[in-house]
Amino acid sequence: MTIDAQFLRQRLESGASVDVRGDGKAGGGLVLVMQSFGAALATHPELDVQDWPLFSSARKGANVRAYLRLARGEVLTACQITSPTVAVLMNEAAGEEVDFAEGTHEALYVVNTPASPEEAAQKYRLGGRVVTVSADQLGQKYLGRPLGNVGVLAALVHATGFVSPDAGLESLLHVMKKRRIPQRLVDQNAELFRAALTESRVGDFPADPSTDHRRPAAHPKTDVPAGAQSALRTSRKNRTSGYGRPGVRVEFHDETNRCNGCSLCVVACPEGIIEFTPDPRGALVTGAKFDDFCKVCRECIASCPLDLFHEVETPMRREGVLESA
Amino acid sequence: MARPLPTFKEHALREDAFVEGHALCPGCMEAVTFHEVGRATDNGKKTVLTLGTFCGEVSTLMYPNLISWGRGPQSPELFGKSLGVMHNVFESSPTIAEAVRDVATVLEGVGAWKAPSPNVVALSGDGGALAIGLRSLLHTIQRRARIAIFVQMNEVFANTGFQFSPTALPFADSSTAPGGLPEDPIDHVGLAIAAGAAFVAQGSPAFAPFFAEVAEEAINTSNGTAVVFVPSPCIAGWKFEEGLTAELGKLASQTGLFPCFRKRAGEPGEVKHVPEKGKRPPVEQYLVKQRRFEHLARLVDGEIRVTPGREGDLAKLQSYADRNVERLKKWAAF
Repeated sequence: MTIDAQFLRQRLESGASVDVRGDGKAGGGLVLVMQSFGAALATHPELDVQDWPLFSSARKGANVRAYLRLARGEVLTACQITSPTVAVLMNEAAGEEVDFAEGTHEALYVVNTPASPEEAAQKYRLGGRVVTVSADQLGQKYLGRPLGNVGVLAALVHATGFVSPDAGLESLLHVMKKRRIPQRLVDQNAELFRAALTESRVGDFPADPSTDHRRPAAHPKTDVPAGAQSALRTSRKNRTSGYGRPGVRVEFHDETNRCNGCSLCVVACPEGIIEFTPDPRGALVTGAKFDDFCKVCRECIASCPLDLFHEVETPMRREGVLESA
Repeated sequence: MARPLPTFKEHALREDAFVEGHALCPGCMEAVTFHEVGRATDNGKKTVLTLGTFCGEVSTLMYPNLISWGRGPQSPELFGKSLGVMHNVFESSPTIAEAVRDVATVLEGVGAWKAPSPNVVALSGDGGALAIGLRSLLHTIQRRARIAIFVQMNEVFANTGFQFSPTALPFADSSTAPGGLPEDPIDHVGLAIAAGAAFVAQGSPAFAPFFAEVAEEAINTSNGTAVVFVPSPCIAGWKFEEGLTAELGKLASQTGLFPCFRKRAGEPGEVKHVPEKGKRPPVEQYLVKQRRFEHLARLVDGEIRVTPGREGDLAKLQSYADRNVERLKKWAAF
C-alpha cells in the first residue's frame, strides 16, 4: 500500500478523516504552516477542516505540537490526534524530545532534514511514504536564517496533493499578511516556497513490526492516555537544551586558566548553569551544564571579556537517541 | 587583608534560588533578573516570593515537572535557605506580599517567629503591575508595605501574545497596536515616587554591578516599599537575534529610553549609565536591532536605513528619550 495523494483522497472519499499532526519548536513557524495549510484546504467546497495548534505555556524553543483534521462533511471529533495519517517533523531537535511518529504504523511522514528518505526512515523507524526536505538550508539561503517552516509547507502541499501549489502559496501569503509580517520577508518566503516545491525527496518503505509506533493499550487504572501537554512536558526531565537553535552548541575552553574571576558570565547566564570555584577574585569558571540546559542564547559569549566561550557547529546537541514519551 | 568583593561578585558566589530547567525563552532577561533575586535573597533569612501571572510565573512553575525555584534539598529548619513561592492572578503580587509581611510581623510580635525577619519579594510583569495592576501597585506603595517589588518591563503582555502595554515606547509594534501608538508611555518611575515608595530604582541586569547593588538595597529596605523596574528585552516579542539581550539592555539605558536610576525617599537620587546629551547614542541604534521597529528603520548592510516618511516619528522618539532623561533627573532631585 502506497501512502500517496491518491490513498489520502480515497480515504477522504470513504468517509474517514485525514489527520495531520506536526511537531516543532515554538517560534519555528509550525503554527503558521498549519494555519496556511488549513486555510488552503478550507477553500475546498466539500472539505471541513479543523485545526488546533497546541499552545503550552512554554516559550521560544520549547516543543509544540499542532493538529489538523479534515474530512468530507463535518468534522465532529474534537480531541488530540493520537494516530495521525500525516505526521510532520518541523525540526529535528523537536524529534529528540518526542516521538513525532507516535501512534503510527504506516503513514505519510514529512521530515525537515538534509538526510535522504532512506536515512530518515531508518533513523525514525518509519514505514509508508517518507518525504524529506532540506528546509533549514533553504531558509538559510532565502531568508538568511535556518527557518524551515515554509519549506515544510511546500513539501506538505506537494505530498498530499489536496490543493495546487498555487493555492498553497496564496494561502501562505494571506496568513503572513494577516500577521503583519514585513513585505520584504513575505516576498522572500514566496520565493522560498516556489523553490522548495521541487526540492522534496520521496521514498516508500514497507511497514513491518519495527515501524510500529502505536502505544500499548491505555493504562488499566486511568483508562485514558496522558494528555498531550503532560506527555510533552514529562517527555524529558526538565532538560531545556532542546530549546536552542539546531546544529550548534556552546563550549567553554580555558586550558591555560585564563579566567580571572570577573563573574560577568555567571550573572549574565539566563539559565544559571555556569559552574565555578569560589576564589578571592570572584567566581573562577570551570565549565557549564551545556549538554542538559544550554539554550544557546549566546549571552555568555557576549559577556566574557576573554572570549572563553565559543559557539561550535555540531550535528547533534548531545549524544544518543532519546527515548520518546 | 583582601579587599571585599564588589556586590555582584559576592552575589555570584551565593546559592541561587532560581535554577536551570525553566521554560523561558533563550536569552530571556527575566531569567537573569530571577537569578539575581535568587542570589541576593540568600542572606540568612527566609525568603517568600509572590508572583503575579506573567511569563516568569507560567514558565517556571509548570505542572507536573518544571519547578525552577528553590535552593535544593535543604532541611526545613534551615530557615536561612528556605524559600516559599505564592502565585496568584496578574495584579495581586504586591498585595499578597504585603499580607505575607504583615503575618510575619504579627508572628514576630507574639514571639512565634524567632528567626530574622523574612525577605518578601514580589515579582510581576509590567502589564500585571502597570496596566492591570496599577491600582494594587500604587496602593501597596501608598500603604508603605515593607516589601521589594521587581517589575519586569518588556513593554508588552508577552505571556498572552504580545498585546500592547502602557509602558510601550512610541511606535513599538505589538499585536493589538500594529505599528504602535504615538503617545509617550506612562511615567512609571514618577508614579512610584509620587505614591511614596521608600526606594525606587530602574536598572538592567546588563549593568551587573549597578543591578546587584540595587537588588541588595531593595531587599534590605525596611521602612517602606522598594520598587525596582527592570527593563527586560523580550526575544520573542521584540524579535531580535540571539546574544543581543545584554546589549539591548545597555543601549536602552544609554539612549535615554530606560536610564539606570535609583532614589531613596528624602535623599537625592542618581541617573546612571546615560551619557550627557550630545554624547548619547541616537535611539536608532537601539531600534534597528529589533524587528518591532522595522517600520521605522532597519539595518541594511550595517547601515541604518530610515523608512522614508518616518523621520518625524523617529525624531519624536528621540525627543521622548531626551525628555525622559530630564524628567528622571528632576525626579532624582525630588
